[in-house]
Amino acid sequence: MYGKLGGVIQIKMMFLDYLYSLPNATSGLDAIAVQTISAVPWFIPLLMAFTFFLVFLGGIGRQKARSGTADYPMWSVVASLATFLLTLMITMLPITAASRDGVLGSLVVIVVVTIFSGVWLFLDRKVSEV
Amino acid sequence: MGQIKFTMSLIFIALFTVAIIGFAVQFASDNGTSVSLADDPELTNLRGGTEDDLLTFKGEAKETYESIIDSSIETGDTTPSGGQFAITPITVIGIVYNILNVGWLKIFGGDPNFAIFLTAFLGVLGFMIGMYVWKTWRGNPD
Repeated sequence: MYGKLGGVIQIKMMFLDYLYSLPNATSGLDAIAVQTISAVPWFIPLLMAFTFFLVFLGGIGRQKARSGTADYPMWSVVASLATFLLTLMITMLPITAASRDGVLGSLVVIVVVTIFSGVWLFLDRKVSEV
Repeated sequence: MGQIKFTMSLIFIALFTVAIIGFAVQFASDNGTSVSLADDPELTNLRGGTEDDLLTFKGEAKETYESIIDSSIETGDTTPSGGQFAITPITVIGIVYNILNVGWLKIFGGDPNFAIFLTAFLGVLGFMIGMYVWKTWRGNPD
């Protein structure tokens, strides 16, 4: 921060106390992601939950607004698959050894949620539906 | 939903499971990812077990089909036994049980307090199978 006081230029520094180590932004987007995952292990599960509910609730809400009813199992499968693909993309990052078990656990959970959504979908169909 | 639709739904559940796990494992292999679903032994075994169960289903479906076309019904008579309608659907219950059981353990662990939900659900599936077999053989039980 720059300021002029009595003809003399003064430089004031502003310090912020971060609760975590800032990622190195000069190494590319993947490095930011990897360092964020290392610093905040709950980043991936919360990102997955956000993606799932964004698609699930958003899809249900818009379908209900348009047609008056919503296909809950179908939106559950769509949301699960969207989250599943996002998690697969995350596994392509050069994850550190310390974070590997957490990412694998997240991947396993979304695979199981996707399978359970499929069970719900296939048992929900009527004779006239696929 | 009738017996054909119900059986197809259970088979589609098995195929969906194999497809999802297979896609994740192959994705990791093709892209050299740092984390692979193949590192999880339970889901890898579930994929192999489900594929084996589907092969068993194929053999039993063939036997069921042959037993039905070999049977004959005289005019005004009824089939004395519903066995040929029951073989294949009962097999697919076991496939779905394995899928649900592994998934259940992955999310809820081995806590017996939650196991009653899985047990009750499988009981409902078995009840539905029984009713559909009866419906196919003798008529509408609704």
